[in-house]
Amino acid sequence: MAQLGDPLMALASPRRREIVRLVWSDELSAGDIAKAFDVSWPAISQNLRVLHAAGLIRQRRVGTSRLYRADRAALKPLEPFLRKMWERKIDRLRLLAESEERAKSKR
Amino acid sequence: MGIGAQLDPRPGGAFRLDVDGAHFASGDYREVEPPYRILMSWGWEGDPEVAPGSTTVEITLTPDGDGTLLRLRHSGLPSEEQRASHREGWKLYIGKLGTVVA
Repeated sequence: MAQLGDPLMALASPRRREIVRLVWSDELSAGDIAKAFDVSWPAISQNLRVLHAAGLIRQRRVGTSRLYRADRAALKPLEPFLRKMWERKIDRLRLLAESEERAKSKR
Repeated sequence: MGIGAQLDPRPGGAFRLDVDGAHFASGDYREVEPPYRILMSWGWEGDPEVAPGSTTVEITLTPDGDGTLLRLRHSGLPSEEQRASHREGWKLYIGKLGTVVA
């Protein structure tokens, strides 16, 4: 992946913007994040790796778990953009459509 | 875990798990001792870090009181980051298994 590490690329995905929203003020384990989405572990883990490589989230290890939190200092310049995106219903709709697609393909 | 699977659980048999339509885990069964133990190779298609065949997973089932103790050991992962990530993943899916069989 040539663009790994690029913050704008990292935030181009609605799923990753949603992960950043979840860990904006709460520190969550990767398992908690996965449960919030009902998507596969590899998908979450890949997105966490992209966000971490771009320096947008911090991780720390506690026992056998990893906890994630938004790096608000790094996100400062992007915060207005993020807030605008979070307010847009289109992001939520896209995520909803995605999970309905998945539910269909599971059947 | 996953939305589809092809499983051939005998020594030398292959498996392929479609986790979400975009991520595929595959490998082959090395040792199969029903109903106590499975040793299989494990990897992710298209992922050079954890390629199919590059790691092994051993699952053992032992009677434990009224229940069964499941032990899973994933060996050969190349980095602490991958170990942590797979540890979380297995924890997540084994947790779900607990609610299915309970």
